[in-house]
Amino acid sequence: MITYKKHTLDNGLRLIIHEDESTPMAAVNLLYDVGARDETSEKTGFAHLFEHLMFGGSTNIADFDAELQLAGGTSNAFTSSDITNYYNLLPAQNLETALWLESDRMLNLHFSQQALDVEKKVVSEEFKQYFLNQPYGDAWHNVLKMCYKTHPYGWPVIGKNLEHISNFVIDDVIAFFNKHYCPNNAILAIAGGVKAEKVLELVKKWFGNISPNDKPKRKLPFEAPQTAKRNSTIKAEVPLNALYMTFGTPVRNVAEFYGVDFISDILSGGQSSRLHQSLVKKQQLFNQIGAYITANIEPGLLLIEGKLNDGVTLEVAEKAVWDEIEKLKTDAVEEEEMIKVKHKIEAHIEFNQNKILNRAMDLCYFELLDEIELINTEVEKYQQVDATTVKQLANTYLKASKSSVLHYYANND
Amino acid sequence: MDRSLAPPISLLADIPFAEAKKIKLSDNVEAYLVEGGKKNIIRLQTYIKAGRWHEPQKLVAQICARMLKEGTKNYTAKALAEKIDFYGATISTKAHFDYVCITLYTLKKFLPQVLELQTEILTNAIFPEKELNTIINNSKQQLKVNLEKTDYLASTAFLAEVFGDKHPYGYEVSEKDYSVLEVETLKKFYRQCYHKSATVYICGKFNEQDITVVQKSYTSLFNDNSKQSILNKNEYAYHPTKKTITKPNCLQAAIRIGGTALPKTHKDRFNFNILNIILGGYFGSRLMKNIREEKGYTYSINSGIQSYLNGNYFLISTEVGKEVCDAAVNEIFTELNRLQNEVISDSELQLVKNFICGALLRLIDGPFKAAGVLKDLYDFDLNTRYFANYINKVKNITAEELLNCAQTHLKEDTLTQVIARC
Repeated sequence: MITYKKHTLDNGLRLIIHEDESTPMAAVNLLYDVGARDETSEKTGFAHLFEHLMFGGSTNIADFDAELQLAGGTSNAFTSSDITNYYNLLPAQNLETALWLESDRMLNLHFSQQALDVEKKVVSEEFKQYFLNQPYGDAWHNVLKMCYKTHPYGWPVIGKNLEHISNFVIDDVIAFFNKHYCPNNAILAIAGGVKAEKVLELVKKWFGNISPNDKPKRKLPFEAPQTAKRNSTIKAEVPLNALYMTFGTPVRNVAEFYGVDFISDILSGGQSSRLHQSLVKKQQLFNQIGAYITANIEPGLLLIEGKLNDGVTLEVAEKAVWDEIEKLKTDAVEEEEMIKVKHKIEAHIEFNQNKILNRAMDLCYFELLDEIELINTEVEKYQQVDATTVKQLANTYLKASKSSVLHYYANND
Repeated sequence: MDRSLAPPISLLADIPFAEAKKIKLSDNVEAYLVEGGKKNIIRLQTYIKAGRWHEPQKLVAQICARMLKEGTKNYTAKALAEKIDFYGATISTKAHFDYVCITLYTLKKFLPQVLELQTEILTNAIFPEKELNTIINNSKQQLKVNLEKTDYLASTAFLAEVFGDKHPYGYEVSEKDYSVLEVETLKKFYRQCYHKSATVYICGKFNEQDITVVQKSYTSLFNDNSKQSILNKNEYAYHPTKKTITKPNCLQAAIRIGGTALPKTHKDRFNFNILNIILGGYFGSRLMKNIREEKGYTYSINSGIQSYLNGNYFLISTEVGKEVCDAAVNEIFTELNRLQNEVISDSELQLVKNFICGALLRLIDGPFKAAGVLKDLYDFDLNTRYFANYINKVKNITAEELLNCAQTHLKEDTLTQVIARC
C-alpha cells in the first residue's frame, strides 16, 4: 500500500507527497499536461524540442543542471504524445534546490535564440540517431501515418521530419510556454525521505506566487472510426523483411483498456507467450516478434511487430499472425494461462514501483487521469479481467477491418 | 523573496554504506545479502566463472548461457518457459566477459518454486539440437541487422583494437562463428564450468525463512570439487591505432576514442575516475557542454571506464552528424588537451565534487543498486572501506593532482580512434 497526501495550491498546482523514510533521496517529478497531441500537423515535434529548451536557463537561473549538480542531484525529462514530464533525484536534505529550480522555469524561461539554434541541431541528431540512421527506423512514422488520418497521434513525438524541427522560431517558443507552462496545467509529486509538512511549506514558498493562466482547452481533431483494413508497403536497405500490424485500442481510463493490454501480454509476455512459441519456435517464421500497446490517454494502438526469417514471405507471416488472433476470438483462454498473465503483470508492477522515482511519476500520471488510487489498485484492474472478457474484446478490437498492416521489404536487388 | 539566491545546500559527511552480510550457502558457494525496499520482491543473482574468459572457442559462453532454458531432463523448453512465466518470474541467463550471471526476479511468495526451476537449468540442461539451430539462426539474422548499425560496428571494432581480435574481450563475431558451434562443445563447457563454484547476491525484501529456502536449494548445486582448468590466453600488447570503417548511406558517424585504462587497484585510478567524470561522466561534463550544448553536433556524448578481472578500458563514445564528424573529433581532442594543459577552475571542481557526493548517495538508493556496487568492490577484493574515505578524498583532491593525472594517463598518442562513417 502506497500512502500519499494530496493538496491543491490556490493557483491550481496539484501537489502529491509520498513519504518513504527508507531512502536518503528525494524524487521531484513535475508533469505538464501538454504533449505532441497539442501540436498542429504542420508544426510537429515541438513539445519535445521545447522540453530540451527547458534546460536552457530561466529568468533567475542561468544553468539548471549546474545548480542541481551542485546540490548532488540529477535531472532529466521525457515527452510523450500526451504529457511532458520532468524529474529530479537528489539528496533529500537538498529538496529545496529542486523546488527553486523547477519553480523558476515554470515562472519564466530565458528565451534565447542561441539556445534554440543549438537545441534544433541536437534534436535533429536525436532524430537521425533513432529514426533515420537505424535499420527500420522509419517504420514507426509510417505505421502512425496509416493509423491516424486526422488525430495528432498520427505523428511520432520526435516530429514528422527534420524540416519541421529546423523551421521553429523563437516566437513559437514564447507562445508555447505562455500557453502550456502554468501551475494549473501541472502536477507535482515529491517522494522519498521527506516530511509532508515541510514539503508543503516549501512548495507553497516557491510555487505559491506563480500566477495561474487560462488552462488551455484541448480540441483535438476527431478521428473517424476505421471501417476497412489498411495496407501499405516500404522497400528499404534492411537485411530482413519485417511485419507491423496495428489495431485501435480504447481510451486509457476504462476497464476495457486493461483487458486489451492483457491481450497483448497473452500474445507476447515472456518466452512462453503465444506469438513466440508458435511463430518463432514452432513454425520458425519469425526470428523475433512482440506485441505491445501504446497506452495513450486517448484511443491508442495495439502493435504487433516482427522480423521474418530468410525465405519467409510477408503474406505467409501475416496469415500466421491472423491465425493466432483468430484463436483468441474463438477459444476461451485456459484458466492457467489467465493466472500466468496476472502473475506476470503483478510482478511487473511491483518491480516498477520499487523505485521512488517511478512512484512519483506514476502518482502524477494517475492524478492526471483523475484516478490517483490506481497507484494501489492497478494490479486489481488486471486481476478482474476474465476469459470471457478477453474473447469478447478480441472480437471487438482485433478485427481485420480495424487493422493497419505495413509490409517492410528488404531490398534484395 | 529573491529568486536569484540559491537555497542553502548541504552534503553528507559520509555515506551510510553498509557491508553486505556474507553467508555460506555450501562449501563452494558464498552469498551476500542486501536487504531493503518496500515491495515484496527478490532479485537473486548467481555469478559463475563461465564467461567469455573461460570459453574454448568464440561464442560458446554466450550460446551455452542462452541454451540453459532450452530444455532440461524434466522439461521441454516450452514447458520450462510456461513454468517460469506462470510464477510471473524472470530467469535471465547471460554470459559476460568474466562471468555468466543467472538472475532471478521473483515475487517473494514464489521464491521456492522459482528456485526449483533454477536448480533444473543449473543441473539438468540437455542442449537439444533443434533449439540450438533456432537460436543460431535467429542470432545470425540479428547479427545482420547489427552490422547495418554504425554504433555496433564502431563499438565492436574498438574492443578488437584495444584487446586484440583473438582476446576474449576483443573478438568480433561473424555468421561463420555461429555456424561452427556444436552441441557437444556446449555440453562439455557446461559440464566443466557450471558446477564448481559460484557467488550469489540476494537482494530485496527477504526474511530468514527465505534464506533457509535458498540455502536448501543450493545444497544440490556446485558440488564439483575438481579444479577448473585455466586456458592459455594470448597476452596482447596494446598499440594505439586509428581505424575508419566505411558504411555507405549512413547519416551519422559513430566515434569511439579511448584505450586501456588503469586497474581499480592502481594508485592513480581514483584521480583518473574524477578526470573521467569531468570529461564525459555526467550531464554537465565538458564533452556534453562543448559538443552538444554549444555546437549541437550530437544528441549525446559520454566517456566511461570499464573494469573487468583481466582488463580495463577507457572510452569516449558518440554519434554525430556525418558532416560534422571531423569537427567533433577535433573538439574531443581539444577537450583532452585542455585537461592536460589547463588547471581546472575552482568553481568547476566544486561542482564536480558536489555532483560526485550526490552520485554516491544515488548508488545506494535501494537494495538492487547497492548490491551492484558491492559486487564491483568484492570482485576486486575491496570492501566498503573503499567508500569510507571516499568523500574525504573527493573533497581534498586538487586541480594540480588532476592536471598531473591527465598529463600521465590521457596522452593523445596512447589513444585508439575508431570511426564508422560513410
